[in-house]
Formats: sequence, C-alpha cells, structure tokens
Amino acid sequence: MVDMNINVLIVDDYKTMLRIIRSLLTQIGFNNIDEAANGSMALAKVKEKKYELIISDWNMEPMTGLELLQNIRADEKTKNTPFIMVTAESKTDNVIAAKNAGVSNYIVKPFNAETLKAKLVSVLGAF
Amino acid sequence: MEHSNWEEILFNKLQSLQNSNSGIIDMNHIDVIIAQFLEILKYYLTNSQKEEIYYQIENILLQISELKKDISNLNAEILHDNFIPEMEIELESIIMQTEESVSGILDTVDKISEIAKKIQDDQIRGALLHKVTKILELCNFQDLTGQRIQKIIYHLSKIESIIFKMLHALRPENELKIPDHDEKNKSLLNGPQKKEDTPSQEDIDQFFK
Repeated sequence: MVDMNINVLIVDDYKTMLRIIRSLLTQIGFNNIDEAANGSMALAKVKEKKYELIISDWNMEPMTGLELLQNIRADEKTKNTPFIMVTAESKTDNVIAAKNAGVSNYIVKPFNAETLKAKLVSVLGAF
Repeated sequence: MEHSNWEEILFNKLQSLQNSNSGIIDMNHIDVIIAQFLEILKYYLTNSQKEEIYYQIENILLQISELKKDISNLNAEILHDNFIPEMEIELESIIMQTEESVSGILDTVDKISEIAKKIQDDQIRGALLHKVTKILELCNFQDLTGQRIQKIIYHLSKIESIIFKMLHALRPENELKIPDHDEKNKSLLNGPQKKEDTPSQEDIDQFFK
C-alpha cells in the first residue's frame, strides 16, 4: 500500500491548475504536497528536499517540464523518483520525447480524477 | 506591327525557356525575358507606340508613387501604439478574469468539501464529494483557455512585426521602431492542440504498457 504521507511536488505555471491537482490529491488522501511554478523552481526544491513523487506540467518558462525531467533523471539522488507529466502537450513526438527522457507516466489535460488516480496507481502501486 | 507578332515572339521565347528547363519557367528568368522582349520591341515600334508605352510606364510609376504616399500617410504608430497592444491587453484580461473566477469557484469548492466531510451519512457525503471532484475536473478549462490565448497573443505580436517590417521597407526614410518580439516565450506555444491533430489519452497509454 502507498504511504499517503510521502512528499509530493506539483509543478505548473497556472495557479488554478496547481490548486486543482492539490485538491484532487488531497481528496485521494495525500497530505504532504509542495508546489512550484516552473521547472527551475521545482529543481531548487528537489535539491533541498526528498520527494517521492513529482507531477509536472510541460509548457513552462524558464525551465520546461521536459528539462526538469531530464535534470531529475541525470541526478543520482533523484533518478528513480516517479515523475508524471500532466500536460496539454499531447503530440506523439513529445510523448515519445518524454518517454525517452524517462517519464513514469503521462496525463493529457483536460483530465479527470479517475485518470489521475489510475496513473498514480500505475506509478506508486495500489492505495 | 501586328499584335499577333508580339504574342508569337513572347510565346516562342517562353516555350524555348520552358523546354530548356524540364517544363518549368523559373521566376528568376522572367525579368530577363522582359528585357529581351523590350529589346525586340525597339525594332518593331513606331514612335507613337513608343510614346504610348512611355506614357503607360509613367502611369505605373505614378500609381506606385501614390501608393507609397498613401502608405506613408497611414498612421502606423497607431497600429503599434494602440490597436495591437489593446488587443493583447483584452486577451490578457480574459486570462486574468477567468483565473479570478476559477479561483473563486475553487474557494467555494474547498468550503463545500469541508462541510461535506462533516456529514455523518456516508452516502450523502460520498455523493457530495463526488460532485465536488467533478467541479474540480471542469475547472481544467481555465488552464487550457489561457494557453490558447497565449498562442494568439504570440502570433499577434508576430503579425505586428511583419507589418512593421513591410512599412519600414516601403518608407525607410521614416524612423519606424520595429517591435522586437523575442523568442523566449516560443516554448509556451506548444500547449493544447486541435483534437484531430493529437492522440487521445488511450493512445498515449499504449506507450506506457
């Protein structure tokens, strides 16, 4: 069973999207959720604190979700951290690029709670 | 000179060019053809015809000059200072207003959730929280609308740059400040695609099996 007290980092440049994901995760039962507004802010947080799950948007400045993923995978300490991309960016080439960079799963916006839960189960295991 | 002779000479010239280049007439050769054709005409034209052609060319030049004058009378600065920035502001305000509205909806949803959690009846509590989740899901629209509007703003800025480059080319004597729209936000252009252009969540799931 998944420990609901794991540290989760959600990354999105839209405040409302951060709130939506946070609310959905809270409803599922996760308690420790941090937020970042872009890839570079997320990377700074990851260097300071250990996260067991990262959920990130793709289209952000100054660092995109893909660049964040590449940085996470390049670091020995974080290379195995589950990473879910939640994005409106659904072109096949981009999905393949994310897969090649080591993304754990991929959710296309707009998404529903059921899809989010299913992807969390596939990445973390049943809860 | 017979008019049909002119046509025949021009036709033959074009045909020989076409034959020498696999049936294609290169646009770069057109000015050469015209120059050669004018050379040929010199031998055929009477003085009155030459005068008529001169008059017509003068007319064309006059038209071009009028057009240039019209363009310089256009207040391009209005386009730069008002129209396009105003459109951008209007579009930005759509993003801001929808963000504020969604934020208000989310505040209300949070309050409803808190109340729902206190309801003793499992069935009613579950049903209410399910509806709350539905509202949260539907609020996704704000993010997608915002990204689409950002795309429009970016392309609008590009159009502005193109118009200014055209105006600058036509009246370089005037100091026109060509807007410099850097490429830094280009990566934000990806975002939502048209439905028919993109794979579904189910298609994407196939990559992760």
